Amino acid sequence: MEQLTDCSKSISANMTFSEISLDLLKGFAVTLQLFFVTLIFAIPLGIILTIIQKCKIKIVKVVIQTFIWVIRGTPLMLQVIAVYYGPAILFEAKMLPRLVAVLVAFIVNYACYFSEIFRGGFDSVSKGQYEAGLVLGMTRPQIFFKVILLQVVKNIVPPMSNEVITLVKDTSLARVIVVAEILKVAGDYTAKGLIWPLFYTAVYYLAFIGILTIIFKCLERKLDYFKV
Amino acid sequence: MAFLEVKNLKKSFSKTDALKGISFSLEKGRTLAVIGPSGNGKTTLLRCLNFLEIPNAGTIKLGGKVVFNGSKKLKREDTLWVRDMFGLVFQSFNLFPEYTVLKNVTLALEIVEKRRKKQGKSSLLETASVQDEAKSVLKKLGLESKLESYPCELSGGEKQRVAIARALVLKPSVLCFDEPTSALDPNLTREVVKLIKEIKTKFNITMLIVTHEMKFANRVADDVMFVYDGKALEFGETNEIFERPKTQKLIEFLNINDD
Repeated sequence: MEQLTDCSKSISANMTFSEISLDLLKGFAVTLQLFFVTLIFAIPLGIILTIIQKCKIKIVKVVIQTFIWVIRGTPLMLQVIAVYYGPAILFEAKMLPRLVAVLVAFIVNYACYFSEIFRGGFDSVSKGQYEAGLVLGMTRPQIFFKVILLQVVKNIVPPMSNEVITLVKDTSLARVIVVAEILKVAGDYTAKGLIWPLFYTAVYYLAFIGILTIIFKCLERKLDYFKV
Repeated sequence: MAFLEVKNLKKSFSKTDALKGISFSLEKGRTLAVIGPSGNGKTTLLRCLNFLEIPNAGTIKLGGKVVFNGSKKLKREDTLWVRDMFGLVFQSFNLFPEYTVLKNVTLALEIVEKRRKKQGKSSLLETASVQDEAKSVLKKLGLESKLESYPCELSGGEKQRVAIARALVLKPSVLCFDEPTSALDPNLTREVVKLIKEIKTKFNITMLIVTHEMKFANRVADDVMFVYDGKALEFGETNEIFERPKTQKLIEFLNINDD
């Protein structure tokens, strides 16, 4: 419970607005850390899962699809708890550090969602594009990188923007194993009778999601010059 | 000697036999129209010739070289060589939407040029650069004002000409068309006839055209092959086929299309 005591010790009636803002900002730094690390690892893992799903060996396909079904079919909060307590309960193994446990659960969960988005993005590129490349004497990797990839990116920008924004808000689930992200920090103030910091956290979320929305809109506009 | 010789070519998909042993040959410089009702194997034949589908049996001889023989495995270099020899204009054109008209034409040319250089083969370029080569072909097809346009900004007819330019720039020996009139307005058929005749004069190329439009075939082709139920029922010069059809199936088909 080190994180709990860490922030509760500083709470007092005399705390100024800027002190609390700064304290919440520290919490938001943890939120951002969860967000960016998840994104950096979940995207490549999602690509790998997509490639494996495209594999022709049936058993491999079934295993991956079942795995994705389990991950998408259970709450992320439950997965966080499972990764943190699971090894200790099942194998009496050492518990992972809290932040690592949260990250593992988040990365695996989001990789599964991303892989479904990537798969949809690939499948919506017409087969005729591959065939056009083939009859023009291009190899499959050349067709993929020079013709298909940008079309896939265009296809996946809108659903990815949705998923990424959801990820920002999902980071608040980390508090279930007492990781001091912003909502946990604000919750500690609430426990001491100070309720406004909890609502004030919305400003941080809105600001960050605002920036993300602008970035995704720009990307969409940049790819608007062609139709798939 | 025939430039393209196909013997007893067979292709089946899980439950249907699309090609049941087609044989024909094509002389250099001729335009062959493959006609017949939809779903009788015309397009499958075209796809087999470009190795987009691998035939199950039969032989394909191109320029005196056996490139497919049902009994042996297809070699990668043979596949590439065959695709270099054939150019294919798809029914729906399949242009690359993210590239300009010019880039659509230069993309594969750059890649093929690099490959040919590596293999020690002669360059395809008649001009100083890939760009100039593409521009010259696009100009011959009347697209010089569209170089920087994207496919979504083009009309159906323009898209088709880009697709033709993209194939022609690679200097194929045989240019294949899959239903060149069906994705366009019916009133554009005459334009396509004009275009194909123009290509023939400007590029002096052998052509293989799959179509179900009789009038169109009659106007553009030197020879006609009637494909029915996965087999070539008749083959001959255009006049002969249209004026003196021999099989009942062809007579029926020509009558239906006359109405």
